[in-house]
Amino acid sequence: MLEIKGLKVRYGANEVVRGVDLAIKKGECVGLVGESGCGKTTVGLATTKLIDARKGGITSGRIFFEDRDVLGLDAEDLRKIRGRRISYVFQEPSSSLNPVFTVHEQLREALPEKDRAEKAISRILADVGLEKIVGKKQVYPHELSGGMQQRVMIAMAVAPEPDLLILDEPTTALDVSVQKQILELIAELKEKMRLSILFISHDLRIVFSMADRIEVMYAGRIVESGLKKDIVSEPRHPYTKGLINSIPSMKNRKKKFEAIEGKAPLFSDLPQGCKFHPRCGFRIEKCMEKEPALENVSDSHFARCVRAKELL
Amino acid sequence: MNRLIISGSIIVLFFAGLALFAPLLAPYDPGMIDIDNILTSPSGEHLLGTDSLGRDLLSRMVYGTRISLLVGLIAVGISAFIGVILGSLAGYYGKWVDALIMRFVDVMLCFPTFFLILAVIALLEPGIVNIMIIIGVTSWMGVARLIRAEILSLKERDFIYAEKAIGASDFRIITRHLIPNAMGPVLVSVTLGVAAAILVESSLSFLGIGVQPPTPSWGNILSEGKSVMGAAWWMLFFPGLAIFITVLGYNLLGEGIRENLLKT
Amino acid sequence: MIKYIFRRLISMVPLLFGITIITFTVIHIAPGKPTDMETQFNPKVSLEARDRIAKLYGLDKPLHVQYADWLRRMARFDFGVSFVDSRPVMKKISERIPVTLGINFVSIILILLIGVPIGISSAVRENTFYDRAMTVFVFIGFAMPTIWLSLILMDLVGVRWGILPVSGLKSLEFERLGLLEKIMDVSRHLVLPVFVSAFAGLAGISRYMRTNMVQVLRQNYIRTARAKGLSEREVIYKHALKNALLPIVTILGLSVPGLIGGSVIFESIFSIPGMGRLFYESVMSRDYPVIMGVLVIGAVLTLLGNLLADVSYAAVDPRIKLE
Repeated sequence: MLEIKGLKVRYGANEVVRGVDLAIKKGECVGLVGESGCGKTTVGLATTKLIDARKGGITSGRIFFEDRDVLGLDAEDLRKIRGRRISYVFQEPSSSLNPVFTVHEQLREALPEKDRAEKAISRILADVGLEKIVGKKQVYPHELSGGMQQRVMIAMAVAPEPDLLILDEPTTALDVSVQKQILELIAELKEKMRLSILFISHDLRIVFSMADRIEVMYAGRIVESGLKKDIVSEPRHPYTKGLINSIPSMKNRKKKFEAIEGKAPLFSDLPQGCKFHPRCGFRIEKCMEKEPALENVSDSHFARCVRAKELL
Repeated sequence: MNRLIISGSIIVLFFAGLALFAPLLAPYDPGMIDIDNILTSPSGEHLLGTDSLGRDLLSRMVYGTRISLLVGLIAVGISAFIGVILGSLAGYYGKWVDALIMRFVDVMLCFPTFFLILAVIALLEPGIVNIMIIIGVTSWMGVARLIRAEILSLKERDFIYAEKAIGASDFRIITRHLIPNAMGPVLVSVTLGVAAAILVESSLSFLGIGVQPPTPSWGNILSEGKSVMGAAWWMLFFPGLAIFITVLGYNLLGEGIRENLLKT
Repeated sequence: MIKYIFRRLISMVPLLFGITIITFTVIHIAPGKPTDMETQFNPKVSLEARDRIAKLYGLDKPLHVQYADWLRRMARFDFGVSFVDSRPVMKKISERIPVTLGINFVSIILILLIGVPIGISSAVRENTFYDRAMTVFVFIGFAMPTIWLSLILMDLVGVRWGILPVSGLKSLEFERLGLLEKIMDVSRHLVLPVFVSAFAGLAGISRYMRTNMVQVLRQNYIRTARAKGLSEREVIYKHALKNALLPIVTILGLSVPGLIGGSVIFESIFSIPGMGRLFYESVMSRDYPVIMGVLVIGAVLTLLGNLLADVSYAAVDPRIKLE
C-alpha cells in the first residue's frame, strides 16, 4: 500500500535521511525504531511531504501510496491524502493541539467536509473514551490531561477512517501508566478499523507489543529489517542486539542490562564506512572502509552488516 | 559581525567623527551672521545653504551633531546608571526591595514619558544639562527590568554560590560577577536608547523647550525651518535627514547586537 | 468577568497612589518653589497669582498635610483653575480629550488594518524579497522623526501642492457648510495628523506581528493542522492567525502612553486643539494647575488602556481563567 524507495532528506547542510526503503502492506503494522535523531520522524513526515520547507526538503527518492506518486502530487491532491487517507499522531499532544480552538472544533476539522455532523464527532469521542469528559461542552486542550490530549489526537487521526496511521512516539511524552492505556486504545482501534500502522519509536519494547515487522534505523538509514520474531530471536546487526540488550525485561533482569556505549554520531560528522563502527563491539578492519549494503540474511530478514551471517 | 552591525557602525562612526572634529570640518563659524546671504539655497559656497540670519547651515549642523550626540549619550548614560543600580538591587535582594523598586517602575511606566519630560521642563529651565538629566531620569525603567531579570536567572548559578562560599561581599558579587554577565541585553537596550533620546531631544528643541538658540541643535534648526516653510526647503530637509540617519544608525547597531546575542 | 474587572480595578489602586506621589514630587522638585519661578519667568503672573498658587498647593503647610490635601483633591479630579484664563482645569482638559482620543483611535485602527497584514504576509514569505523590503520599511518607520515627517508633509502636500489643509481642525468658513461638507472638512484636516501618528506605530505593529507569526508557524499544532489535510489558507488564516493576533491586544494597551505622549508633537505642529496641544501651551505659559492635571489624566488614561487590554485579552484567550 505504501512504498518508500531511496528516500533522501536534507536539513540545511546535513543529509539526515540517507536513502531509506520501506514498505507497508494493507493491515500491517510496521515498527520504525532507532535512537532519537536518527531520522525516523523525518521519514514519517516525508510520507506526505510534511517537512517544514524552511528547515529542509526531500532531495531524492520516490514515495508511492496505492500506486500514486506522492512526491509528484500538487498541493490540492496532497491534501486529499493527508489526514484523509494517511493521518498522524505526534509525540507531544500538549503542543500539537491548537490552544485557542476547542477540542470539538479541531475534531470537526479532521472529518471530511461533507461529514462534519455532531453525531460523527460524538461517535469518535466515544471511540477514544472521551465522551464523558468532552461531551458537548466547550473544552479547550489545556483543560485536559496529557493522556486525554493524546486521545484527542488519536481521535482526530482516526476520525476520517484513514488507510494508514503514522504514530510518531505517541506515548513518549506521557506517564508510564497512561502509556499503557494509550497503547491499548491504539491496539483496539487497529483491530476495529483494520488500520495499517507505521509505529515510530525509540523504545523497542513498545514496538514489540504492536508491530508485525520491524525496521531498525541508524544515522539516516535502515540497518536491519525483518519480521518481529526474527528480530527478537536472532538480531543480526550489532546495533539491534544492543537495543535489545538495553531493555530491562523480566527475563534478563538478573543479568545486567547494558546501554549501547558511546553516542550517536552527528550528521555533520558521520564516520567513514559503517556508521555504527565506532560504537560496535564486533568491528573488524573492513567495517571502517565502506558502508555495507542491506543484505539478505533470510527471505524476509535483512541486515546492513558485513558480519551479519556470522553473528548469531 | 552581521550586516546590521556593520551598516549601523558606519553611520554611528560617521556622525561621531563629525561631532569630534566639528571645528575642523565646519567651513564657517556656526554663529557668524551674514545679512547679505540670508536664506541662500545650497551652492558651492554654502553646501547646504544658509538660514534666516545668513549663517552657514552645514556648519550649524556639524556643531548640532555635537549637541545631539552629547545629549543622547549622556542621557542614556544616566538612564543606564539608574537602571543598572535599581535593577540589580531589585534582582539581587528580592523580597521587599524588589517589590518596592518594581512597583516604582510600574508607576513610572504609567506616565506617557513625553508628558513627564515636559512637566519637569516646565519647572526647570530648559537647557542642555537639564535636558540630559530629564531624559535620563524618565527612561531607565527598561534597563532596570532587563538587569533584574538577568540577575534573577544568574544568581542561582554555581559560580555565584562559590563566590558566596569564599565570603565575597554582596557589592563584589553584584559589581564583579552579576552586572558584567547581564551586560549583553543592556547593551542592546542602551544602543536603542541613544536613538530614542536623540529623537526626544530633537522634538523638545523643535518645540522650543530643549536646546535653546543660538546653540545649534538639529531640533531647533528644524524649528527655524518651520518658520520659513515654503521659502527654504533645505532648512527642513537636512536637519531632519541627519536625525533620521543617526537614529537609523543606532537602531541598526542595536538590532545587530541583539541578533548576535541571540545566536550565541 | 465582572469579578475579574473588579479585581483588576482594585489592583490599580496602588498604582494610582504612586502616580499621585510622583506628580506631587514633580511639583516640589523644582529648585525654589513654583511660586518663585512663576513670577520670575512669567511677568504676566501677578502677586495675586502667586498667592493663588501658594494657596492651591498649600505651600505654607507641612509636607504631609500638603500631600493629604493634594490627594483629597485628586480623588475628585479637582486640579484647581488655570492661571491663564481662570477656568477649571478639569473642564479645560475634558474639552480637549475627545479630539486626542479620536485621532489616536483612528490611527490605531489604521495601524491594525495595515500593520497586521504586512506582518502576516512577511512572516508567511519569510526571507523572500518581499519580506526584506518590509523589514527595510520597518526600520525606516522606526527611525523617522515625527517632526520631520510632519514638516515635510506640510511643506509638500499643504504648502507646495495645496492639496490638504495643514492647520487646525476646521476651515474658516466651517459654520456656513452643510453637514456633509462639515464632515468632509474635518476629515481633510485630519488626514495628515492621523497619517503621521499612525506611521511610527505601523512599523512597531508590523514588526511585532511578523515575529509572532513566524514563531507560531513553527509550532507543532501548525504541523498538526497541515497533517489533517487543511488547506494552506485554513492553516495560516485560521490556526496560525488567531494565535498570532491574541498578543496584539496587549501591545495595543501598552502603546497607549506612547500614543498620548506623541500627540503633543503632532498636535502642536498641526495646531490641533487636543490634550497634547493644551499641555504644550500650559508648559510654555507655565500654567501649573493644567500641567499637573494633564499629567495625572495622561497616567489615568494609560492605566485604563492597560485595563482594557487585560480585560480584552482575558476575553479572547481561552487559556486565561477568569475566576
